[in-house]
Amino acid sequence: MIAYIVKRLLLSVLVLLGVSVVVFSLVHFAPGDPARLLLPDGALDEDVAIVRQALGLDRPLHMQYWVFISRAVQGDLGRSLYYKQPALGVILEHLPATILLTFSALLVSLAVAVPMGIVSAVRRDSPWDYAGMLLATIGQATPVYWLGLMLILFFAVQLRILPSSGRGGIEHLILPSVALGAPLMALVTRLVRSGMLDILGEDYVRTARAKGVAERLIVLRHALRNIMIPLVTIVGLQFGALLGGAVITETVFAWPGVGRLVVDAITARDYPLVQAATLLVAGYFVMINLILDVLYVYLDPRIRYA
Amino acid sequence: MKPRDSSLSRRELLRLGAAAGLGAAGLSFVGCSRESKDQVVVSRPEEFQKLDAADQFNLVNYTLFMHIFDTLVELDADGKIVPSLAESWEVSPDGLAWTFKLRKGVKFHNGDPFTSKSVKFTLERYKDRKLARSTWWTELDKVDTPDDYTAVVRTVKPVGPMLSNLITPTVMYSDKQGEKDGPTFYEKLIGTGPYKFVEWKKSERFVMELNADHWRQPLPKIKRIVYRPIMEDSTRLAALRSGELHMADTIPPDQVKVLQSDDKIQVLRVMAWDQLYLGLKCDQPPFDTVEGRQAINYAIDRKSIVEKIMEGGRPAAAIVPQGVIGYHDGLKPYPYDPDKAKSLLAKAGWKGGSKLKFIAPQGWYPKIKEVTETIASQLQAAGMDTELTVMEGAAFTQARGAGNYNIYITGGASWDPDQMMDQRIRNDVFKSGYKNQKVFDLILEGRTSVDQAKRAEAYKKAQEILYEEGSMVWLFQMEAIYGIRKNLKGFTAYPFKVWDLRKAEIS
Repeated sequence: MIAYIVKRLLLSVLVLLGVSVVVFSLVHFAPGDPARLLLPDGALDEDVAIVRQALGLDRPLHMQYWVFISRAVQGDLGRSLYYKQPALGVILEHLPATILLTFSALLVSLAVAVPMGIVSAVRRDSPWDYAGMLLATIGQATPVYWLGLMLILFFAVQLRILPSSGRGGIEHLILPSVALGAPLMALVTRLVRSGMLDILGEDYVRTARAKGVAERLIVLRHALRNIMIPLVTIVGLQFGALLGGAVITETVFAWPGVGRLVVDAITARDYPLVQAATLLVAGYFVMINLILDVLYVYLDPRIRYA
Repeated sequence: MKPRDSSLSRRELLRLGAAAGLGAAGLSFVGCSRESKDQVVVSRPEEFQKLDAADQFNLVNYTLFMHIFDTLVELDADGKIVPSLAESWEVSPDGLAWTFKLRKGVKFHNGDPFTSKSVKFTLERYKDRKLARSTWWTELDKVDTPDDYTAVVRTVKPVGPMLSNLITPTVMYSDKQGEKDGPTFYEKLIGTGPYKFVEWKKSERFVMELNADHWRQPLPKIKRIVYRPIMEDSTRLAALRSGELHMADTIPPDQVKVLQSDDKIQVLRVMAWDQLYLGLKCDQPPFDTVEGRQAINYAIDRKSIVEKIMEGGRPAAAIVPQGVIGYHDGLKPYPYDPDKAKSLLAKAGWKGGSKLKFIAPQGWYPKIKEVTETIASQLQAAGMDTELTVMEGAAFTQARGAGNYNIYITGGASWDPDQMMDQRIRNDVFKSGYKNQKVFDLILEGRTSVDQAKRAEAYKKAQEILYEEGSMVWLFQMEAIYGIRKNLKGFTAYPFKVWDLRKAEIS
């Protein structure tokens, strides 16, 4: 187990190195000059040249990459051109908000989807089932952006029971989590429902019923456990989508997370900030996947003993 | 067996639902706006980004700095320069020395006194050309301090826009603390202004609180100002309508009606010193001739763009907007005359065939897509086919800076003609290739003359020639649109797109 985790960690380093090359190339080959954007619109070419030189942007690209990566290894991710502060610090100010939002969205979607999927399966073709499937279809088909605005208009402007945007108490977390979690919620509901239906027709379920085990125990103990593996897989795969959705959700809800920060940094061609943020978010993603893989082993003894 | 089991799960579901409902109800009063007479919450789609006033040019920074700091002089709401930390000033006959008499008894938030040494410390920093605002101070020589309350700003050439350069963002810093702290000093935001900096949570909020020791009496009535950057227009509007904001800046023109239907909100429209124009590549056909440039000026229906797309604003004729020194009221916007445009184009020898490259920056101005598409179709009707590309801002600045266009669209916001004319015409930073020595000389005269009447005259003459030669296509003056909750009184918005809460109150 330890050897497995160590191997995975080493692989993660390779992944991050690859990410750094790709991101570095992307930001540097995109048209636009950070020095020009740091000065007022219409600055003289000679002033732009002075700033370029001060930032080291006049050096060959491979040298700039070398400077970046050799410092990054030592934990120095450079200084944000825009904020004029260490990029790592700027990101760490934003990262907790993103982690909070993605986890809360995950939690909200699972808390709704798992019971709803179970009820839909157990009460197949009942109004419960239809309602659940309708909600799932809507959740999957609605763009996060539009759903977010509708939630704001209804709960903040019409009812005035929840704040429209920004960070604050737990009440600020509700709307963005629902908007961000909706697609995942839809996916998981369908997954749980179909998985449940399959399992409830299995021989061992019939055996359990024949033994006289209470239906509730059959559902919660026998069936639900077997859903966990595909569930964890899907959640792992969808976590990337959740991070991607966070960019939009953070913009709509003025949520001070990394997603919005990166979009602004790209617009400003703040190379160090974009690079550092991408590396950190990639690291976050890699870590979540690692945790989920370890969770697999724990959940399924067959993997453990193979 | 079955009914009992499912009723159990249903009960669980109900329990969950009840818990959620209770939760929401419990939160509801927290979510509602905290109405208070002491605190104002305002928003604009711009992030507060940099702490050093000498090294940024964001409008939101100017605005917030104006509350935390003071400048030597200020612009009032009519655009007139008035005293602030400088009580009076005079300029030497050769125009090379400006003597400022400073206000006595002014203290920084940390207790340091404001003296002529502060002026010296603040201004001489601008000689570092890496600072974004150093471009205004290239002629600065040094600042002399004959006594604590007299500062003499010496320049190597006369600087006509000296006073314009001394308003926001040229805020005064404490020499004592600054020399002690080094570069980290600018992160502390220690000013002499009526508000003290409290906290800045990036992408979330910027907070300041009343400075009860401010020299200007009476003190502002609002105790606490919270700035929230909300980029998304719909969200900013929703936050205003829900009462979370007292003021939302940059209302899209097509949303004005929505706000007007809300009886708790009023819409404030201010004609800004910000005009949209088309820059032309003057060393390539068809704009390498006066006829070709006049043709495009006649080809555009400014009035219909202002009325139908912008739903506000004013057709423009020249580079200096109404209200700014050097404004020429004799110049009227080119009338819309596509036939005349066609015949001028024929005179210019333009036969069409190739498409003109028309570039525009995405997201810089409201309705930029609609405006440029309309212009493109009007140009086509007059015989100029264009290939319009609305591109991402950074890519746009690069293309424009390299002269890689036939037509570009950009706005020009300024409170002194020198800022735009020297940079975009005399220094031709966007590589238009326009050359007219007489115009260049006049612009230089405006820049290097300290007699404001003489300056105005020079700029007017330059604009007459520019108008005649059609070197740029001035489209229209833009409006700054604010949504304000009616209980916020005394909100001031200046034409240079900066707003002021120093005289505001909540009723």
